[in-house]
Formats: sequence, structure tokens, C-alpha cells
Amino acid sequence: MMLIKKSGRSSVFRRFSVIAAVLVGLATASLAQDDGPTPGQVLKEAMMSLEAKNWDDAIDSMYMYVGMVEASKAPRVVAIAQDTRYKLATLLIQQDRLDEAGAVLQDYIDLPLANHPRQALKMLTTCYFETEAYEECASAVTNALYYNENPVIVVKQVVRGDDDEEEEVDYSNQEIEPEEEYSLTELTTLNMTLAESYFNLGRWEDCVAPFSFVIENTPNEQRKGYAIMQVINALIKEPAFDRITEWIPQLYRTSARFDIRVNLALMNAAAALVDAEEYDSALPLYRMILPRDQLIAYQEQKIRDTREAFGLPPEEGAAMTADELLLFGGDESDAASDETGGVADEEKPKELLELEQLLEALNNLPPYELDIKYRMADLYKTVERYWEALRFFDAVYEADPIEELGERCVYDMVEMLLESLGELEEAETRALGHIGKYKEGVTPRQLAYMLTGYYQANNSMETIKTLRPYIDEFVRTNDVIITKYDVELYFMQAVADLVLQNYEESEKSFKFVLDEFPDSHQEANATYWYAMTQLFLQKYVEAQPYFERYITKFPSEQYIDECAFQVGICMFGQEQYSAASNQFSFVIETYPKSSVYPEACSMRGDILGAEGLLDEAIVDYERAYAAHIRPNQATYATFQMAEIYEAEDKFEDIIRVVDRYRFDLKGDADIAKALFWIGKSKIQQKLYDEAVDTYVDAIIEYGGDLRQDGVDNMIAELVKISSIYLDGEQQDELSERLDSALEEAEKETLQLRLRVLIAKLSNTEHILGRQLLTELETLDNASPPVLATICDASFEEKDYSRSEELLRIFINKFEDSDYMRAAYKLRGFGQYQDEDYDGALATINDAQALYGTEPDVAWAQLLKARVLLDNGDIDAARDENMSVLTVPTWRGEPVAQATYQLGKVEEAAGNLEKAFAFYQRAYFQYKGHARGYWAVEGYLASAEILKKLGRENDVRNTYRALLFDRYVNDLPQAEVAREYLGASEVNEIVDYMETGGTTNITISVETELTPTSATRPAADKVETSSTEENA
Amino acid sequence: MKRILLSLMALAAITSVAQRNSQEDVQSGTPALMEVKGRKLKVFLQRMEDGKLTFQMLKKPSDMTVPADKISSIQFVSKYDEAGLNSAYGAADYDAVLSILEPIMADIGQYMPISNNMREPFVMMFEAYRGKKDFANVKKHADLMIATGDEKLIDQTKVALALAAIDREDFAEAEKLGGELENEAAKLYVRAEVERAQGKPKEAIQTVNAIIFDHGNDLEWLPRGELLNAYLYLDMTSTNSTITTNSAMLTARQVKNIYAGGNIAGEARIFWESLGGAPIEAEEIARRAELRAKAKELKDKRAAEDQANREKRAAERRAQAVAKREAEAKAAESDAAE
Repeated sequence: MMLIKKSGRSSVFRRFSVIAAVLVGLATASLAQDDGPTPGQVLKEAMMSLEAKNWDDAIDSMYMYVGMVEASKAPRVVAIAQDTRYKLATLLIQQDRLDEAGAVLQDYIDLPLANHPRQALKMLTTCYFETEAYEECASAVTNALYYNENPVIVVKQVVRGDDDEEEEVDYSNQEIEPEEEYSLTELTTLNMTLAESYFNLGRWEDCVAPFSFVIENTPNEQRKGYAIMQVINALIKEPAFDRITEWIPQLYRTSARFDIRVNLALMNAAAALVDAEEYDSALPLYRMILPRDQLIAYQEQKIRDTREAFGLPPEEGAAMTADELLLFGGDESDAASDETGGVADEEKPKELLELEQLLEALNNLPPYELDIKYRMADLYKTVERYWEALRFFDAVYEADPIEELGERCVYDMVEMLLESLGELEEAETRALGHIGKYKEGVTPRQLAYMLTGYYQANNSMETIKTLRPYIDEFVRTNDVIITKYDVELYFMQAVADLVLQNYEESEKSFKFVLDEFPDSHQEANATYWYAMTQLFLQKYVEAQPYFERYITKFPSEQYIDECAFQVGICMFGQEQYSAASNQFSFVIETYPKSSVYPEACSMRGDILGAEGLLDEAIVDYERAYAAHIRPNQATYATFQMAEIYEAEDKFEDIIRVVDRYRFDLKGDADIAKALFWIGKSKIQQKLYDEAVDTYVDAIIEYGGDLRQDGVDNMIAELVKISSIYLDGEQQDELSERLDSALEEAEKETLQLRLRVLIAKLSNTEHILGRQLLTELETLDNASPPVLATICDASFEEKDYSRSEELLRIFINKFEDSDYMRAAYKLRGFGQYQDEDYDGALATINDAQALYGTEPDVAWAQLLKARVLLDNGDIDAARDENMSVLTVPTWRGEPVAQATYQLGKVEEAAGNLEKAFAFYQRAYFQYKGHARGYWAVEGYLASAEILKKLGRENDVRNTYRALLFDRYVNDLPQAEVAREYLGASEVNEIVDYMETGGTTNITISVETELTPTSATRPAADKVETSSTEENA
Repeated sequence: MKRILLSLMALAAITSVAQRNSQEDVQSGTPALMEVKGRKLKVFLQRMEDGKLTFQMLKKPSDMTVPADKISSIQFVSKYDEAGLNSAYGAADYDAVLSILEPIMADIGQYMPISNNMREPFVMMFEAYRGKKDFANVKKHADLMIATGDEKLIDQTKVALALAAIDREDFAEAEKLGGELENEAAKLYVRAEVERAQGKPKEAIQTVNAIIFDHGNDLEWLPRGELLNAYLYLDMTSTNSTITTNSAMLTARQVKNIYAGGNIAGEARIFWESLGGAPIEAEEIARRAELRAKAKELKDKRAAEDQANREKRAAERRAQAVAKREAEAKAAESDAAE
């Protein structure tokens, strides 16, 4: 194909008109002076300069020549000019004068008679690429590739003549040596240039095809790998993530993976893919990134190989050995090479320099392996491959546990193990391992915080407490974040104590937070809970100011209404009922929407009820019921109303409020308790059968649920009904129903309740209690009556081994149960037996705080007196025993025991006469109580006193009196008297009594009893000094 | 490539010659191009026994027997649907793989110990047996695989035999075979399979993780290991309520995507689909496409706005320049007038 190119003034002159003008001008001036050099001479000059390697002179001469002959139409001249242009362009490229070279080459291509158009086009692409003219470069490569396939030869030129007329010159008859097509290597280079140009122009899709050509055709592994990497980068930019995966295995198979540039590109590409959530594509890239050491080793080896290939010793600065010289040769005459094989940079081959630069870059690169591993771990975590993530996190952490990355790892690991894998043990190993070693900074605190949160969520408060030693060892700073963590950690420790009901500990812990971290973000909460803890400890006086402080200091915080209410509770606890009532009224008026409103109503109702203002109390309970937020608020109000109605014999009202409660609360109602009240009303209405039916049905239906404490009340009530209101036949029928229910019962809780009920009805509780003691491995399913039965049996057996456990179960699970008193008793005596007097006194105090002077809690007061006596506190022991005598509900057996114990007190005080008097009172007055137990003990103790006083005859008479006493002479203790008196005297007494004889033996010891005893004139003043026996 | 094409053309020619001859003078056996000491011979293979190959030269119907290890290679002419085979194999459709290969291998399978062009399909067939847990056939073909002398194939065979042992709960045998493996990752893989079979998924997954961590570029055993992890995650869901099937599904998905084209990716796809992965992935793809479209829309909009702003500013600048020039001209005119 022929082509006509129109070329007026060449572009060389457009760009370099100044140079050319100067040169031509000089030439013209020279000619004017001495005809100057001819174009031939100028060309010759250029060639000589070339040979002499005077590149600049050669370039100047060539420019001059081309300028001088530009207007020539002679084919030969045109051909020489073209050849000169080609040489000039080559020279300019060598001299890195790429802009100029580009212009010259463009002229060369545009003008006729160019022998190397393909090469010129190729060189042009280099010029444009190196000058970052990527648009022009892409166009030049495309032209070159097109030309290669479709060569056109410029045969005509339009030139402007001297007359300024355009003239067409035809060179088609000139022979042009055909030029070879591009080799595959050249095509690969051109495609690489094109691809890179497109890449630099952001033409991502366009660059894939030329890169693919390179990948398919280049024998150079490095170049291939680089091209693949660029394709991946382009596809990321495109984005076309789905096409990325196919390139990765290819990249892996090239040695380019050892190229740091490829590795850096891999990192960037992987990060971009992660950002785009293309995890499946990112993961293989991360895997492919090689460790720096491996890259350095590879690069060093490559440098050695390259050095050898260029005849240099393998190591820089090393002298070549004889063997190496033999193998690789060596140019000893090379001036640049010194004796040690060192070579000046400017003399090193380009390949070697490039490699050395790469190695230097590698050596300067900070280590990245851990970062990559961390990123992989993070990626695995993101795609929920937690175990894989763990492996990588572990590795990073082990390598660098205290730097930022390591700390992030341990945090991520613990979080993942807790939240995503449910591997608590593994999480604890890592977290505690870290915080055990590292005490500074945020991370140990974060770990402790995370564990605490997990334990809290899983209700494992005991475990939270195990963190305390670690937390105490953390190095405290003024850093705001660290301090905040510390506050949180200590606050949560206190909360754990509180939940565990270790109130003394939680009191200390909350105080610690308040004292150590004043004005902390948790101050309000810590204040509230500190006060609440004191409330739990019944420290009403101490708690009140803290609630008040909260109200003053944190008026807009969440517990403001609670605090106002608790102030009322504190007043109530201090028996300031009027103030408390006013405070509750304040809460009722101020916080009508608050959750404490119903509680305040109920509390005020309680106070009004206690004052006998039952109607007003009912109004408050109704308010509480109507406003209840939690079921227990409605439950409390309802059953308080039931209590009042019961006191007023308003059984219809009981049924009304209880039915309303059942209807309103449905599933949230304490049905068992409701039924208990309904049954109770029916009893009062003398509907015993219905009451029994109600109770039995309710026990069977709800007795399987441990939390239904109403069932336990029914058990007690049913026992009462049975013994008082049912005849034998009805009792048998009830027993049969219960036996049958027991057979059908599946749940252990119900079984145990029924067994206890049956045992109570048949008075075999102790037998059952002993049986359960050995039968039950755990008490998890035992309800309060069952536990109480076990307590009672244990007490009978003097087996205190489970006393602590039993009381703990009550406190934790059945705090409001009335059956708990049995556990207090067992525990108190257990501690007394273990001589844990402080513990025993604490238990006694708790029991008395709960049950006051109720008849069956007299043991507490009596035991207290014993504890004090054993502890050597005689006065206190005396007082405590004396106080028993003043309590009306304790008349009878407790007073008998107290009287006897007073004897012990006086005996211990050395007041034998007084002791004798109390012992004597015990057998005179209380032989009818406790089956005469304290009376016979009184006899025996009296005898002992008399022995000490040396009154042997009175001793004898005392024992005789014991055996004559029909109330006590058959008790086991009477054996002591029998042994003392001997068989014949005993027989004599027996014979005498069989004849119907009685005795009136009186032993008198002069004494003065305490003022308290003066109130009891009958026997308190014993004033006898002799023994009389009236037979 | 060109050489292979030429060889195949030659083989095709042999076949057609053989077919023509069969009408006149039938020469039985499997036609093949056999290379011995650089010489290529057109032969009809007869049988392989005790490490010896018996064959007939073309047009010379008398048996010749030589030690198999003296043969450099054999080129078979087997007509089968290669694209179909690759597609079925990549989809882990092992029934389809076997339906293509079993008829071919019934004849030429015996020659596998000699290097040949059908070894890769033979390995595919072996893998299909392994994938189908057809351990009887695994055992039947194991000797041929081992006789190839190719370390990679020997390991692959021993692993398959170890899986057979695990299948019959002969863990000692499995561990023994595992101990004989050359490839460290393969050893770990067998150990993990044993641990899984023994109901120890946690230990097993940690063993696989050693492959992932220490042999992250082992393209033979890593995919298998990762797929095993997917199964292990599913195993764990039965004893650990914290772990969901997501982990199994996402692990299988990664295997499917990362190793696309291979049979393990095919197996992963089947498992992933069984866990309901396909609709989830479709949703995710749609979501991302939507996000990208929105992002592009936003980008285009911003670009248009930027362009409009630039043009506006340029117009303003031009107008200002014109105004300035006009003002200067007027000033010059008035100066000139003065």
C-alpha cells in the first residue's frame, strides 16, 4: 500500500526551530563569509563526532545536516536525511533526550524512504512511555502493532518550494529494503508498554489484553509474574473481582512471587479486596506473600548469580578465587574493577544495579510478616473460620505479645473464644496468661473486663471474684481510659459480691470504688449500691446518708426515685415509722410512674396496717396493685390485703382479691399462694373438704415447681386441717390420695414434697428426715419443707455436717420461706458445737432478726446464753437467760431451760447457793415441761451443788426426792440417783411408792436471787437451811 | 504443542491404518505410540504383567515382551469427551467421571506404571473412587498408582488407602499409612481425618490448621484440608451450641471459590449447597452489585458535577478575561485619544 504524507515543515523544526534556526543561521553566515561547510561536510563532521563519542557534537551536526537538506527533493538526499534522522533519534534516546527523540522519530516515520519504520515506531513508544506521555504512548504502540501487520510505505511527499508553492514528489521508484516484522520478544515488549500505558491511564479493562499477551509469551518469569500482578491490580480497580481468582495460581507458579514489588503489590491488592469484602480472593493473595527473609535470600542469590554471569565475584568486595576466575572468567584490565572485586556503580550492569536496589529496598522494608498474619487472622475471623483465625492470632501474639499487634491479637482471640467458639477454658488460658504477665496499659484491663462481662452474662459471679488479684496488680495511671477501666473492673467486682450476697465484701468493694476513684463515671451507681449493700446488712443508719447524697449529687441519674424510696426503707428500719410513712408519701406523690411507686404504696400500707388503720392500708395496697409493674408487686399487695381481710374475717374479700389477682396476672401469678389463701378462706367458712381438695389439687399441680412457695404453705395448712378438722376416715382418705399422687409423681420436687406431707400427717418426719439425709446426694430439688425436715432430723441426730449448706440453700433460694428457721437452728448449734462462738452468735442474731420472739425460736436466745457462758461472759449470759423469763411466748419449756441455765451461770460465777436455787426451781416448777427433762437435770445439778457444799445428807435426800418424783423418775437421767442410792434403798423407795406413799422432801439452801427473780415470788426466794422429809 | 499435535495426527493415521487393516488382516491390541530410547514405535499393546510389557509392532503380529521400565513413554489414542470429563471432575460429579473413564481405563489402566498421556485421567478416576468412598476400587487401583513411582501420586494413593482404613475404623492402619507419606501436609491431613473419625473435631481442626499455617501454598493438600475443616465445623455444631453452620458454610464457600475448577472445589460446592449456601450467596452478590451500582452512580454524578463546575469556572474566567481585555482596550483607546 502506498501512502502520501503531506509534510510542510517538519515537526523537528516546529519543536526545535530555535536550534535549527541558530544552526542554519550559523551555517548561512559561515557560507556568506567563506562559503561554509556543505551538508556533506556537516554530515561527515557528525560521523566523526560519533566515532569520537562526542555525542552532543554529533547530535548538533546531525540536526544541522537535517535542517540543511530538508528542502531537498533528491531521493538520495532524502534517504540520507532519513537515515540521519534514525541515527539522531537513536543517539537522542541514548542521551536520554527523549522528547527530542520522539519528534525526530515522528518526522522519520512521516517522511518517505524510511528503512526502519517498525523500529522507529517501537522507539517512539519508548520515548513516550519514558516521558510518561501515556496517551501518546498507547497510540504509538497501537500504531506500531497495526503497522507490523499492515505495513504502509510513504512514497510521496508534498514540499513547499522556494516560490512557496506546494509540490508533490514521488519516490515510489526508490527501492526500500524490506524491514523484518517484530520478533515475539519485541511484540511482548510492545504489549507490555501498551498495557502499562493503559494501566497508568486508568484504562483497567483495556490493559488486561496486552498484559495477557505478555503473560502468555514472555519467557521471563519475573516479567510474567509482574504482568499477572498488574492484571490483578487492574481487575481490583475495575472492579471485576470474580475474574481475579483465575490469575492467582498462575502468579504463584512464577518466580515473580520472589519479587518484593510483586509482594508489595500483593499486599495492596489483598487489602483492597478485603475492603471490598472479597475475602475469597484476598485470602490466596495473603497466602502468597512471602516472608521478607525468604525474599532477601532469593534476591541475594540472584545477585550472586548475576554477578557471576557478568564475570564478577559472587560477593561484593570479595576477591575472586582461582576457581571462580576459571569458572566465570574476569577482566583484570577493567579499570573499574578493583582488586577485591568491588565495582563502581556506574560500571555495574543495569540488571545488577536493579537487583541491588531491590535488595536495598527489601532490607529497608520494615518486617511485615506479622502484619500479614494478623490480616489473615482477621480475615478468617470475618468469614467465621474462627479456629483458623485463632491459629494465626496465636502465632502473631507469641511473636510479639506486648506490641500493638500482639495486644490486638490476644484481645481478638479471647473475644472470639468466648463469643464465637464458646471455649471458655481456652479464653481463660490466654487472657489470664496475658494479664498475669503484663500489668500495664489498656489491654490487660480490656481482657479482665471482657472476662468479667462473660462471667456476668453467664451468672458465674464466683469466677468474677477470681479476677480480683489480677486487677489489684494492674499498674494504675492517670490515663483517663485506663482509670475508666479500673473503675469498671472494681465496680463489677463489687457487683459480684453483691449478687453473691457477700454483703460485707460488697460494702467494702463499693466503698473502695468511691474512695479510690472519686468523681468517677460510676460514682452515682457505686453510691447507690453501696447504700443498698448497707441496707442488706440492715445498716439503716449508715445507708440513709448515702441515699440522700445520691439524691443531692445526682438528681438526674437513674436511681433517684429508688433512692427516695430507700430513704423511706432506712427510716422504716430505724423504726421511724412516721418519717418513713411521710417519705413513702413523698415518693408516691413525686414518682407516680416509677417502679418504686407500688412498693412505696405497699410499704405505707404496711405502716398504716400496723397502726390499725386497716381501711387506709387496703387503699394503699389497692394503689400498689393497680400500679404494679412487676408481678411480685401485685403479689405482695394482694396477699397483704388477704392478711387484713383474714384478720377481719372478710373471707369473701379474700376470695375476691385473690381471684382478681389470678385473673389479672395469669401466668405471672403465684397460683399456689393464691390457692393457699382460697383454701384458708374455705377453712374459715368451714368448707373443710373443699379446702382439702383445693390444697391437694394445688400441691399436685404446682408442687413440681420448686419456686412455688405457696405449695409449702399449703403443706403446713393441710397438716393442720387434717389434725384439727378431719375425722379418721377423712384422714385415711387424704393419706390414700397423697400416696396415690406420690406413686404417679414424676418430678423429684413433687415427690419430696408429698413424702414430707405424708410424713407430717403420720408424725414420721424424723424418720423421713434421716432417710433423706442419706438418700439425697444433692438438695437441688428439695423445697423448704423438705429441707426443714432434713434440718430437724440432722438436729436430732446432732449431725451438723450439712448445716452450712442447708442454710446457704435457704438464703440463696428461699429467703422468704418460713421453714428457714430450722436451718438457722441447725447451723447455730453446729457452730456452737464447733466452738465457733462468733459464728454462732451471728447466726443467732440473724435468726432473731427474722423471727423475733416467736415460740419456736426461743432456742436462739437460750443458745446465745450458753455461748456467752462458754465464752466466759457470765454477766451477759445471765442477762440473756433472764431475758427469756420476760418473754410471754417463751413460757414453759424455754423458761425451764433458762432457769436451769441460770443455775449454770451462777455455778460458773461461784454462787453455789444461787445456782442451787435455780436448779431447785427447775425441778420444782418445770417438771411438767419438756417431759421433765429440765426438772431431772435440775435435780442432778442440785445434788452436785450439795456435794460441793459438803452436804452429803442433802445430796442423798435430793436423789431420793428425784426417785420419788413421779414426773421424772422414769427418765434416763434418774439412773444417776439409783446408782448413788444403791439397790436396796431404791427398792425400798419403789416398794414404798407402790403402796401409794408419797414424799415431801425439801432441801433448803439460804440464798438471795437477782432482782429479776423477785418478780417471781413462788420459788425465787428460797430460804431453807435444813432438810426435812415428811413421809 | 506442535510436536504433540503431530504425534496425535500420526496416531490418528495409525488408527485409521489399523482400521483399514482390520478389514483385511486384523491386528489385535491397544494401538499406541511407544517411545523407547528416543525412538517412536507404532505398536499394539497386548498386556502388562509382572512389570513387563507385551506388545506387537505395527503389521508384525508377533508378541514382544520387554521390561516396562525400559519404555520411556506411551501415547494412547483415546477418544473421549475431554471437556465433559473436566467439567464433571470440576463439579465433583464422580458418576459422570467414571462413566467416561471406566470403559477406557478397563483396557489401558494396566499400562499406567509407564509414563503416558492418560495418567491424568487415570488419577481423576482414582479420585472419583475416593470421592465416592468406593474403597474397594480405591484398593483395586492403588497398586497401579503406586507403580507410577510418582511421589505425589503415591502420597495421594496412600491417603486414599488411609481413608479406606478410617472408614472401617482401622485407625492404626490409617496412622501407619499416614506415617509413610512423604508430604508433611498429607501426613497432617491423614491425622486430622483420623481425629475426626475418632470424634475429636477440635483436635482435628487444629491439625488441619497446621497445614494452613505451615503449608499455606500446598495446592494439593490445602484444599482438602480446608474442606475437611468445613466438615469439622459442622461436626462441632452438634456439641457446641455457640458454633453455627455459618462457619461450615463459609469455609466450604471459600474452598469452592479459591480452588475453582478442581474436584475439591466441586466437592466443596456440593457441601456448601447442602448447607443452603447458594441463595445466601446470590443475595450477597445482589447486595454488593446494588452497592457498587449506587457507588458508581454517585461517582458519575460527582464527576458530572465537577465537570460542570470546572466548565462554569472556566466560562467565568473567560468572561473575566474578555472583560479585562475590553477594559484594557478601552483604557488604551482613551489613552490614545488623549
